Amino acid sequence: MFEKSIVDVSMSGSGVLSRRGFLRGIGLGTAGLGLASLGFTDVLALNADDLREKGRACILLWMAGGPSQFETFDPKPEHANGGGVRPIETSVSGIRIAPGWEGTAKTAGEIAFIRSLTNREGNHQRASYQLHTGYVPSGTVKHPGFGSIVASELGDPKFDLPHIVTIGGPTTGAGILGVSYEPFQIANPEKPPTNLEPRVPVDRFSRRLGLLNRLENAGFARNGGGDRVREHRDLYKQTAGMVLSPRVKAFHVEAEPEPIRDAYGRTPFGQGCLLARRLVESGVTFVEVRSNGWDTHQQNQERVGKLASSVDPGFSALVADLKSRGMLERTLVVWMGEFGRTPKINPNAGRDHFPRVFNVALAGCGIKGGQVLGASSKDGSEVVDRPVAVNDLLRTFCQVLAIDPAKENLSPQGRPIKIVDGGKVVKELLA
Amino acid sequence: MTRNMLKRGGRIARLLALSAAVGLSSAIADSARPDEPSKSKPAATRTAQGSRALGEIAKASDRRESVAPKPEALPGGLSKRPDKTIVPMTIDAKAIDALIDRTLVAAKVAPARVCSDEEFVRRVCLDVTGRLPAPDQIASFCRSTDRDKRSRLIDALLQSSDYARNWARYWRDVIRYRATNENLGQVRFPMLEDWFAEKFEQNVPWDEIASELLTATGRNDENGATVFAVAHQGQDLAVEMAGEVSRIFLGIQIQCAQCHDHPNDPWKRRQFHEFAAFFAGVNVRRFGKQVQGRIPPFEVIEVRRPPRYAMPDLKDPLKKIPVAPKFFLTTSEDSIPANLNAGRRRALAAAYVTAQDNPWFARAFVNRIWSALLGDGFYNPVDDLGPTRTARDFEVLDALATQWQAAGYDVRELFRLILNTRAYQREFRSTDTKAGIVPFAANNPGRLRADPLIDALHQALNVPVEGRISKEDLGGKGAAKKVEAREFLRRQGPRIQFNAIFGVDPSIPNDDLLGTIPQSLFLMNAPQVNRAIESRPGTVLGEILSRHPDNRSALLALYLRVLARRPSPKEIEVCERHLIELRGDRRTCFEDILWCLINSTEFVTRR
Repeated sequence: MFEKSIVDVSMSGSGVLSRRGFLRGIGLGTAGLGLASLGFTDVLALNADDLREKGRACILLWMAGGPSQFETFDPKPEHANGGGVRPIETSVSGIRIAPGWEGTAKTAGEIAFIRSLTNREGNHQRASYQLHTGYVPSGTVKHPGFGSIVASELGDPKFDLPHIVTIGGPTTGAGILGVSYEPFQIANPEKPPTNLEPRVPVDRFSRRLGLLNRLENAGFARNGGGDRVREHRDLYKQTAGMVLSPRVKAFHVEAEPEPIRDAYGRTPFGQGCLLARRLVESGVTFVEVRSNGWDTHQQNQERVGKLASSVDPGFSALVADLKSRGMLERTLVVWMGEFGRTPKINPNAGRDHFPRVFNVALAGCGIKGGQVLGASSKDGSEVVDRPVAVNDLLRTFCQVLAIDPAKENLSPQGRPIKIVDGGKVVKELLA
Repeated sequence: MTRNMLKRGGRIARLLALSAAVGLSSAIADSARPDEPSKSKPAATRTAQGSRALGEIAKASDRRESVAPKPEALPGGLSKRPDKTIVPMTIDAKAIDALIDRTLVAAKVAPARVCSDEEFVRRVCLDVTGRLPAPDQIASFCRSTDRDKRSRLIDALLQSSDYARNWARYWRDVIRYRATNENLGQVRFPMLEDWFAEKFEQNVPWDEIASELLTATGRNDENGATVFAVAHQGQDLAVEMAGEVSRIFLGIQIQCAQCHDHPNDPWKRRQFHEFAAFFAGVNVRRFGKQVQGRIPPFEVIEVRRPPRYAMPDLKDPLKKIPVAPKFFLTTSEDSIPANLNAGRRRALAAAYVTAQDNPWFARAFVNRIWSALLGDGFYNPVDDLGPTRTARDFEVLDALATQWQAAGYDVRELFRLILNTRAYQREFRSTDTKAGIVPFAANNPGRLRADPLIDALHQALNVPVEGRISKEDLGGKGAAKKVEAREFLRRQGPRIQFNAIFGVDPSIPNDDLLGTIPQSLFLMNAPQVNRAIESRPGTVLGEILSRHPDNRSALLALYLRVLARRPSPKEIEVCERHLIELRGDRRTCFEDILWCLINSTEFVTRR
């Protein structure tokens, strides 16, 4: 059908070999030489967990703009700052959350709510960067997003789809980890990724790839461009491998049964959560699903209510679906945003940026569900119990995903950057 | 500033030129402002006092196309520009080659030959103007028997507005890719690009460009130089500015010392914060009221009161330690008075950074340009020069940078010099060969930046680049509407979308740029590319096939258009075999070939 060599090599590694002769990534010793360690059919026979070290994966549900803790998982019915919210009961007695999160309430047995996250960064870009990387932004080093770290630590180089996918908008990039771990972006979960479909029949597409190889052998590769051609070919093998991969069907949420699609909610976020599950099921290591619009400086309660109507079904269906498929024990689900919102309601019925106290919800992968960790004061202005810092949180993620947080990646200047700098594992969260 | 200061300033050992900046009394500066800086006789010193007399003998050089704006005295008489002396360069392309040859002989490596005219014309056009040469330009250049044709072409390209635009985009990206304010729309990078383009077009010396960026005030929709500060709007503008100024203009990564004393670098944490103190008291704030649907302009302002800069106390997070400005490259014990206001602080920082006895400033620029042109720098990465890093062929960099600095930072002159070297004009080599590994024994191919690549796509396939403004946008509503429409396209047009996929940080070493999956997906499958690849009336291929009934001449035309060279006999053979496999289906065959050329390594590579 098409050049066998293309597929073989695309399957044999991420195929990135640096010019100056040192290997990037792991297990790439054969890739640059075009030696296939695994054939096409061998790779397909491997299931997703074999392709992904230890089978662990992570789905981040990102509430861009900074979700209000008062209208999500830390309601304050007894204080004016609570804005008159009347909490609802959950499936775990004693845990009460804000109305609008009925689905989440039902799956509370799987979820750990942290009400005592605390940080200092109150600027959207900087805080998003910090919550994604564990570091505050600096001009010199582009720290890798946590997703790229998870992808590089856990993803199998033989995998033919991207290790990290972002649904619903751009996110923090791979930084110093390089292009192999750059998040692959999907704008609309109901549309397969841009430019993934060949514009010509598959046999003609494959024929063109073969002609490209022959032309480059006859031209640039012979005339001093040999190493550049090799790099380019590795990239094209990876890309063509993806274009022609049977796994790309994971990108098609419309293949899911209607009741499941309905359960996740027929919204971009809900369908994004469903796509995330499909991708993880197919072997993708890290998926971020983004919900935008949480910067509720005006009409906070009304807007959060609306946002919850898409996030609650998506979040709860995802947790329940992963559980029923036996995937939850190996998949960490994280619900969070860059900061919380002010206890005081402003004159526009909104809440402003507040990094001092905010909340996060976690499920799966050895996180002990059915608990609330930490507490904020009655008026919501301070952490009064078990403060959790950003690096504590990331260190805990590392712990459950079996990633060594002390491992260092090198910046282009040769400066070692720890996966997580400082912080302590929050032991109470572990099952 | 007092005379007393002048004396103290005079003791700053390593930065003599700064004595004027630090020490000029207001009386002197006001009464004797420097005249337009222009090239004066060798070794003549233009001082604030002496410039009037020198003005008579100074003539605008033929190589200096424009006259820089009159330097303004800052409040209190602190001159923006220290004394600058102009000593014309004596080093030429041959001398540089001789220096390089010495190391090549020592390394026992035979350098690659000087490249063919065909190879040269593509390389120099892409490097200087960011555009492929057109097929007829290639033909006429190769045909010409003029012995100086390469130098002449270099001169002509350096005078083009494409040169200014190409390098404006390069520097826009240098700043953009490390911007800590990630709201691109608000930062207004197109303003910065236009600003750079104007400077390069007028060949404003690099020290003046740098100084303006370091000291700009005003609105980012009026003064493109303010974009540098707006790009770092955030909590710690002084810290971000200090780090980026040092990285970009000095090639020193002192911001590594922001949090800790660094074990491998000599800079101490305190030295970083002393440098950051120069940039204290500068605010970026929204200008005017927010208008729905409009991007608000931002304003860079210097507070009037002398700012107080303090660094966090590592022992006690609640405490801060006050820090006065001091430049980390000076060995002097003199301290700068803490009560300088923000304007004076930044002007002084600019004077320190750009001073002619600060070798880092010239080295950082020369290293960058050399690296972009030869595909390899003396230092890699280009923004990390030391002091503990080791350069390759340091004596070449040193000779070039020292002379270029002494001659007053003439940007075009540096390009002209490098482009005329044999080192630049050598054939490219793969790293599989010795000449491909030893620096400067061959030209090192590298990936094209986003803007040259989309222009190449435009030239090869006629895909739209700038977008179109509808008639309504241009009709009757005045210039403002036109400007707005153009602004819209510059924010939303195909070029910007293309940049989002293909953009790369120019400070990343050439060898580390390997392309991404979305990039190859775009070239493989994007509808606009695939439509343009088809052979039908109105497409490039359709025209070529109808104008060239002969397959070989059609192939020649296609190769010249897309790869700016003729096909090799082997390539012709492969194409002819493909045609046979397709049983003579000419149209299908050529579409396949064109798809391959667009998706080839060579198309995305400067070589």
